[in-house]
Amino acid sequence: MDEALTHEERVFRTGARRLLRGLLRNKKGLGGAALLLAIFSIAFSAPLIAPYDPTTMHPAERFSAPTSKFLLGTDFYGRDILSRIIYGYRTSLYIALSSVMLAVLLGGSLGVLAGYFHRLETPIMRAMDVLFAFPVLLLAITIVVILGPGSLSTILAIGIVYTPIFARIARAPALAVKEEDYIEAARALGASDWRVIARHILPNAAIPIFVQATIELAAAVIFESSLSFLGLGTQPPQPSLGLMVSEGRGYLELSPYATVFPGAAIALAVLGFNLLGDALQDLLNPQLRGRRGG
Amino acid sequence: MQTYIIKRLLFLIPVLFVVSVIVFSIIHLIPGDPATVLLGTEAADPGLLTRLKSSLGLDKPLHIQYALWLGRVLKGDLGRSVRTGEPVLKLILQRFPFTLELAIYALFLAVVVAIPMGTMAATTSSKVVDIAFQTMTLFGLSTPAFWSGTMFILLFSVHLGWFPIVNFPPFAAAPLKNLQGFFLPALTVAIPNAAAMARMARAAVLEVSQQEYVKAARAKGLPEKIVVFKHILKNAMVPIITLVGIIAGYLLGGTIIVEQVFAIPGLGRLSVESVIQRDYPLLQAVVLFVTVGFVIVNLIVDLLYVFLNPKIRYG
Repeated sequence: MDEALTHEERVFRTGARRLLRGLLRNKKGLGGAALLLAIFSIAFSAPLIAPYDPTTMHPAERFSAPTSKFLLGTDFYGRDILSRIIYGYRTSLYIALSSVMLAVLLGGSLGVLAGYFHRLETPIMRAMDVLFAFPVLLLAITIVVILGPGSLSTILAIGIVYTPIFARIARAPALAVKEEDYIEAARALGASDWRVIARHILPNAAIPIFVQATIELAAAVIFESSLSFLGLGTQPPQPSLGLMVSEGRGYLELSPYATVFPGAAIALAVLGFNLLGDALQDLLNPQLRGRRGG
Repeated sequence: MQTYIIKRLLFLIPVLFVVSVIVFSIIHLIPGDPATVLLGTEAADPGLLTRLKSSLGLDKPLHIQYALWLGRVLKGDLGRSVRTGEPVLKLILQRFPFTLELAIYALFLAVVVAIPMGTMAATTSSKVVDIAFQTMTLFGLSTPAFWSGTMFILLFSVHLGWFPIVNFPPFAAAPLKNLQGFFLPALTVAIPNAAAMARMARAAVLEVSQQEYVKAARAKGLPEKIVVFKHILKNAMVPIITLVGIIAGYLLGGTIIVEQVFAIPGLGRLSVESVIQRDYPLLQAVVLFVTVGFVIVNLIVDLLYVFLNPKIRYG
């Protein structure tokens, strides 16, 4: 079976296996993976585990402190904070994953095209430079204003903002591989450009893209909650962690719980992605790991 | 190096051209007729609408409109606010000092904490210090600014009363009160940036420590202090200063959230207000102003990098 694989596909498989094995031995990686597994399970099974509907109001029990009935207390409308955090995780993770996936697809494709087809390199990479020229949050805000606030606009805004990062990462392996003699040979034997890209370049770009995606997921969770905090992301009454912090701020002195817990929930998710991303990056660039060598 | 600088400056022209096209397009991309968008609530008056359309050249083809707009921008006329009728450049220049001070203060706090921290983490053999460093930087990077800022207000302003809320007198009038008022916002902006900087400092110091000349310096018996300061830190500064520069550029447009949390009347808050009030010419001008500033700061950082690192020869 291995004979059918290209050199890059074999390198990818070995690399992926090594990365996974390394991750299982890395404390940060294991911690991050465990934390994310817990958060994803909570988000995935939200309707089963949330004690209340996230939008149901309990007017008689507004601003309740944590009790056995409301484990993390209630907000201004008497809504259960725990249930809103559980559903808020769903929104945050859905938007963060979709936007990073969009950036990977868009940026990855553009980067590979720029690296592989010489005549496309200048227009694509210069366009990416222009995107890089905008401050990220301001660019995202402008995109959201044009498209109108909401989940889909947030995904598009974050996706577009992160596209140049993945274009730069995907371009390097495309540039490196296309100069190899065996690629010339494969082309001479009749392999199409698309086949070369799929079987030689993508396997080479996959691991660095995956590692970068994990790191960007942490940033995307913060980004999504920041846009929601400004009122430009997820719209009420849909539960969103950033929006919860923003709403809770108005009543900080009356009840800090509506602000403290959702913010801590965001930080935990970001911490999970950062731990995993750190571990993956350490495994990919072992020279930065460890202690002083001299 | 001269060729590189000229090349880099020439490259600025197409970037700024495309940036200007994108910024010009904002008004046209927002759903609805641009004149209606510009007039806001006054758009109900059809006479006013027609007059504005012809005075702004909105009845002309798009490329002519762009040329007219660019001509006005180059003369310093960025348009007028729909809400107040004031020139938007005036509003921007009123708000800019707040953002600039916040950015400089935050950068100062980040550098003072991050570089010694990163150097210490890279040069110590203590496991405890290393774990503390990893934990602190991870938490610094994982905490959203709007939340840490809010927590600081809750703890230091509401409960302890150490810092006033919404008090930003000009530095020249009351320097101490100004520094006190800006402290919590600057700290909030500084934390994630300090975490990134400290990590970079650690990595750079670690990398330089492994160089032959450092081993040679140690082998000939130089005191550790001299090895660290003269041989390691001096050479590790190139990537660190580059990152500081990148962060400086980023802070121009990266203080939006913190300005919102602490109600600082800076450029970031102005951009959010322009969105809420549908004052799109104002948003357009802020985006243009901040982006051009960002591009220029990034250019300076690139040039500084070449200047600091003569080993690099750009073609």
